[in-house]
Amino acid sequence: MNTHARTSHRRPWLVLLWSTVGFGVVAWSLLTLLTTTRAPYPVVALDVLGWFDDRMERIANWPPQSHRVLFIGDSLAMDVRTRRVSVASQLQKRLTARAAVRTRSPIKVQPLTSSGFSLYSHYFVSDDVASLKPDQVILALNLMSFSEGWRSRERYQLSAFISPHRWLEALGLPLHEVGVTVDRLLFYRSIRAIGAFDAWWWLQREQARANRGYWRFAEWLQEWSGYPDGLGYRKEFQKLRFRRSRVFGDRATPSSARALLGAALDGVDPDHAGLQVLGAFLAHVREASIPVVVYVPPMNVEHLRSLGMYNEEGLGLTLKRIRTIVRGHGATFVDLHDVLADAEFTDFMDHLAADRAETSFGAVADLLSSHIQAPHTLPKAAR
Amino acid sequence: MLFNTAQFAVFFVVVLLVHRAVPSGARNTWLLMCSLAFYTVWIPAYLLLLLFEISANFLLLRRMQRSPRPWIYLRISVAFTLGSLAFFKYAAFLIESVAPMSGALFGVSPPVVDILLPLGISFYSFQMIALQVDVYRGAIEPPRSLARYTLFIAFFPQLIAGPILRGAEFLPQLERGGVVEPTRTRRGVWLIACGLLKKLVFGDFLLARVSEAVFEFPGVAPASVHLIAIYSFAFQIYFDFSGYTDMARGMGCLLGFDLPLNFREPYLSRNPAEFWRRWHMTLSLWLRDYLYIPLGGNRHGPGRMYAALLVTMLLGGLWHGAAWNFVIWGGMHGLLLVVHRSVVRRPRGEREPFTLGDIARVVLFFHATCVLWIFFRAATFEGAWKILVRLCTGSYLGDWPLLPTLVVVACVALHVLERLVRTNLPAIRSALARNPAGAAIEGLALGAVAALAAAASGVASEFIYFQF
Repeated sequence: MNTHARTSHRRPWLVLLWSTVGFGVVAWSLLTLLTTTRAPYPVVALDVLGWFDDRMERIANWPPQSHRVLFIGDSLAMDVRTRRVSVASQLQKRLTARAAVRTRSPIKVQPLTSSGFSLYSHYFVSDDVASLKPDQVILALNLMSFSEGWRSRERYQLSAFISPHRWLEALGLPLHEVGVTVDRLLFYRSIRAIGAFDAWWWLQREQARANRGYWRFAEWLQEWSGYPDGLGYRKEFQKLRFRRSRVFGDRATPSSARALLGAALDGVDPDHAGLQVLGAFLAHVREASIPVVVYVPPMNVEHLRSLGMYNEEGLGLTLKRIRTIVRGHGATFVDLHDVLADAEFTDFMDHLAADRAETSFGAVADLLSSHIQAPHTLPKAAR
Repeated sequence: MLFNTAQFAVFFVVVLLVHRAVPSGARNTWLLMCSLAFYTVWIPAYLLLLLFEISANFLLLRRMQRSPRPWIYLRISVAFTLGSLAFFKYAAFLIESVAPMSGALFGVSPPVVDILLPLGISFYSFQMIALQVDVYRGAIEPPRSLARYTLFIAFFPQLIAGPILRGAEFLPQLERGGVVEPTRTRRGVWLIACGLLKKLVFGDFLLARVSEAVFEFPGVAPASVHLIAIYSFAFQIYFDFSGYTDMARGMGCLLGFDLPLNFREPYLSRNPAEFWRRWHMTLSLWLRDYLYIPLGGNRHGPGRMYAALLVTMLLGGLWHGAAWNFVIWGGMHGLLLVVHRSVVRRPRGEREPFTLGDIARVVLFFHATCVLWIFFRAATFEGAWKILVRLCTGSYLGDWPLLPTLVVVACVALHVLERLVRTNLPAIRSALARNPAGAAIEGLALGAVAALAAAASGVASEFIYFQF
């Protein structure tokens, strides 16, 4: 009786101990299996966190005594194929030439650009942007950010960069539309605060690898059975997915244009979530007395017209509302949505064509550079 | 905050540790705070809606008790709760459905509305209505305070996807304040482990990938792949939802409460009536008690009974989602029930032992259920039709996807195993307690499940039932 009582008292701890052993053995076996079968490592959503930290570190080392321009934008501001040419690089060329004539002080344009790094992400990292102390910020505002279809592309993991003193403000903004909920905000911030990004990223990568491991095993089983065609349907699906993406291919279809630009073309409401987030970003940067230029990147107006979807009135309303927000925060607004012809674009998302990158990005940079203050005209605090 | 996320794990550990640390008298207050915090993390503004509905219903409940004409307050309360549910869940669907007719008749189309569905509204609305009706019928005493009523509605383990609680089973537990004891704690740990295994490993990791691909491109793959995809979906939705419920019940146990069983191996049902006594049991009972019986039930002859069955199932289908495919799915289940009722005068009882004929009935009825799942899952009616055509006309020779097939076979085995474990639980428990290696077996199994769940959560998707 006593022995039984002692054993039952110890039992929960024994179970806990053995469960730790069980967890360790199974986890180790799975990892070994994945390594042995060479299951590939796919890109996971959390990659953006590593990317952002690295980029910030690089940018923080500005050349001394330079005039520092920080260019923030997404894939519309760079050549997504070669990644060699971008609005930022073209701007660097033009501003350097101009500054050399006027002031002889070196100008450094640092790009903070990445695919999918758009409106909401800009807000998440606004304090880090301010902490870089640039002399000027140029922001490429992708009008697709206003559409519902775009929101799934926003990276809520970057909410880890919202400073705790901004949380109350953040909770008042409609950030849930891009998946930022209080638990995620706290969780990703905590992960960052305790320096566990790398460990968390490792776990995510291994989990994603386990997902790939399933197909590795499925293929092996099929081969082993002597009926390799059993998974043939996957190829068929891949073909269909590819064909479907080809439909969107080099130019927007009415449905893709509506999904990505519908909100902007119809005219956004004055209290649209995107406008609120843009206003909050600008307010943060303004607190640090950093001048900002917000520009709307070129869109394929010619093609939208041919589709009969170019709603000049609606888009005008959207641009007017953006302008009001931008100017209300003491920033400069530049509208470049209608400066390039159809031939300059490469796909349905209005990325610019790689083979004409020099000229098209150059044209954007030309128009932008005239709106950028030369170093000697900047307020003293910003120099 | 989904149960299968790291942030929820952190949240629950904190809830549990504090729950165990505070005096028993303060536990309900702590759970109320946590439940409101749990709901707040999604969209803080919707907490106000939840609290408004709770306060209004509590006020009406009080008035109903004191009034000489309580039915007035009952009707107001039910209309208010259903009105809120209708507005948030069905307004857009209704407008979309009448838009073409309105355009053709009057030349004007109603405006497009974009309303975000408050989390768990279908579940908590039903819970509110059930309590109002039960108090009106005099079946239970109403909760003594607003705080108690709020915790009854918003108790976080079941707030967003059930099981739908009844006042009679949960309010007395709340009065006692939750009884934490080793047996219940152990049951809770096992229920959570089973839930993780079902939801993450089977539902998300093993089953979802084939079914999702086939429903994305209906009619493209060979018939064999379609068949496996339909089986996969049938088990996916079961493991997803019952896994979630297991986790909810497990958390309830760890906090000292017993939440009701929601599934009893539904795919081992021999007929439609038995299926609905085994599938989403708390919803089925709700529909029976608050819809089917008030509509007349079986008291007014076969005609009225069949009509009541059909209406109940149509509305039950609509409860699952504001779309025509759910209505069709519910209606078809209603038809199955009507046909079964009209053909079989005395259906076999659940407790009657299985015969060879029963095995054939189970297989037959499982396939009927699978066919209806096609309408439930397909994005369009045309898609569902393509799948049916491919299933009926395609070739089943060769091209079998082996791993997905093995997974389906494993699911069948697991389903049977569930029945065996559930019906022999006391014997298994005492065998483990007697065995000197019992703690090691139990621990190793729990650890293995945790590791598999962690590995599988790389493809974590939202619980399917959240959209309802």
